[in-house]
Amino acid sequence: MSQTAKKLNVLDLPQAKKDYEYNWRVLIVEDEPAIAEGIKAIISPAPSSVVPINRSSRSAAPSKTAGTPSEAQKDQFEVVWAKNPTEALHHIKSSILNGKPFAMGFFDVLLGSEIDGIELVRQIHLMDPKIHAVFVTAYHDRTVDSINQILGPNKSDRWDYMNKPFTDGAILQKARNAVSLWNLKEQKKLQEEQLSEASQLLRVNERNSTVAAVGRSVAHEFGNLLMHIVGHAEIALMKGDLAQMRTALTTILKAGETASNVLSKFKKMNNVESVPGLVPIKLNASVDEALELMAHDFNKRNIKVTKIKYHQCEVDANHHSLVQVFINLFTNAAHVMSPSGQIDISVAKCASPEGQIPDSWVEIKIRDHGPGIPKDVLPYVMNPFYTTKGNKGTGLGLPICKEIIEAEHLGEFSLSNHPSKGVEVTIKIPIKQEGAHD
Amino acid sequence: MTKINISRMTIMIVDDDDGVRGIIKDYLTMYGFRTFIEARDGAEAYRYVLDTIQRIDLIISDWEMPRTNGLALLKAVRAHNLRYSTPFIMITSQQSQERLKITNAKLHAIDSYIIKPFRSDILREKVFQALKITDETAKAG
Repeated sequence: MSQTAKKLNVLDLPQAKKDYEYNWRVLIVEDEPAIAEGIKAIISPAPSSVVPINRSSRSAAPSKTAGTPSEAQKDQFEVVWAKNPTEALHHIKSSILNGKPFAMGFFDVLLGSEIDGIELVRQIHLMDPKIHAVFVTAYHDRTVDSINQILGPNKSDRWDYMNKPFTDGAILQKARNAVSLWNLKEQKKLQEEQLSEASQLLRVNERNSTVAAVGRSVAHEFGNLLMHIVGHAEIALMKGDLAQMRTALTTILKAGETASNVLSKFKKMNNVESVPGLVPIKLNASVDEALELMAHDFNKRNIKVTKIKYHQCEVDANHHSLVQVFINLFTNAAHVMSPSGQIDISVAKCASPEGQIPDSWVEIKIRDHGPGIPKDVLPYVMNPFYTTKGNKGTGLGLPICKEIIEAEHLGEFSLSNHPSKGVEVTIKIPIKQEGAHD
Repeated sequence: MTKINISRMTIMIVDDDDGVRGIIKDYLTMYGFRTFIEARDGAEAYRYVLDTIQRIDLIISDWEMPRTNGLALLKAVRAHNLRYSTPFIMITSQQSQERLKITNAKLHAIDSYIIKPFRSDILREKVFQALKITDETAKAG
């Protein structure tokens, strides 16, 4: 129960964050007060005569579906006027410091000062790279290309221009478009941040559930080991025979050793805090550790593991993440095979996916001898929350394996039915990660 | 009062761990039992269950075993027309599905439930309870 609740909380988290505050702030940089006042009057008229967005004949349609149409669709531009570049830079600076940036600005090109509107925007972009600029000009004094050159190609989606004389509608619509673009970009960024945070949490959660599964198997092993210890001690005590006591003590010591080995592996696995980045590791050690952790489960299910090819490979990787991937895959394989089965593992160097550099990647294949995945199910198995295990599965095992391989290790993860029998998972990861050791 | 000769009784011990099986046998020997049948899993045990000439007074079985687990064995015994009332003691390691297991086992009339690791006196108590032996009626031979 509590586990389910925890998972839901993780998913709810992004929505639970503070509501997005729409940015309506507009800067007008214009040396002519009459023009500045004119623009302000168009986009932000006195409260009594607020201009609704849907003024056209189509306005009836959306207002039917929207919850509170009249309130939500009003423009709420907040206009600040700067009459020269110095004032403009001052407003930008304080807007950043106060955490209330401008979404867009109207910039007169000829400002009658040492720098023109375009140079001003270039300087503003150094402080506030997100602001959208609309240049207002009376003459065709600049070509679009020359403006692009001054502001830089990476800013091409952050500016627009309009020629005087302009209509009220053109000004209003430019303001609306620029403001909504600014807000869309911001909302997208926010969503991406929240999404990556959520997926991080999910990964930790999935790791915990893997830990729980291994934990159950460790608990069983411990039960038997403790039974050896308690049983032999008690029998030796009751019989009081010296030779028997010696045998018992030897058995007890051995059980203790085995127990501490199991425990240290389990501890290592549970240690999410000390997850390092990608460092050179022995890939085979990750596979072997997963196999050891699964040993009890495999034994219980009569599963034989065959290492078809097992080349020793050193790769830049995260050992704990890989162990998690292998445990997940082994668990899936074991789950489909009953009452007995076989898992084939092969590890070998291979060429990069483009095939140019031989032996620059490692290929790991894990194949079970189960019934395979039905054709109609195969397309969905990588989908999050798809599970065939009912309540026992989170439906996140494979997507997370895929993410660990593809996002964390920049490798490839694929799954298919083997031509003769069972499911085969193919993992490819590059041996060297660029910039892995900084 | 009729004395029960426990040395004549046959106890079946089912566990995939040789060591654990040995310990249970040693414990039972200390209580006075002499005859044992050992099996590594439910399927092996079930072969003895099917042999109707074989005397089985009590089954002590681990829950988790390869192939056929303890619960499957329990169900098979309870479904058998001659063995259905054979006392059955289930052993397991402490695990998260403990409660579920106990409920499930109760459904199939389990006599006792022991959690690993256990001490000798716990096993003695459970075995004697399952066989309905009191200290007065016990007669070690």
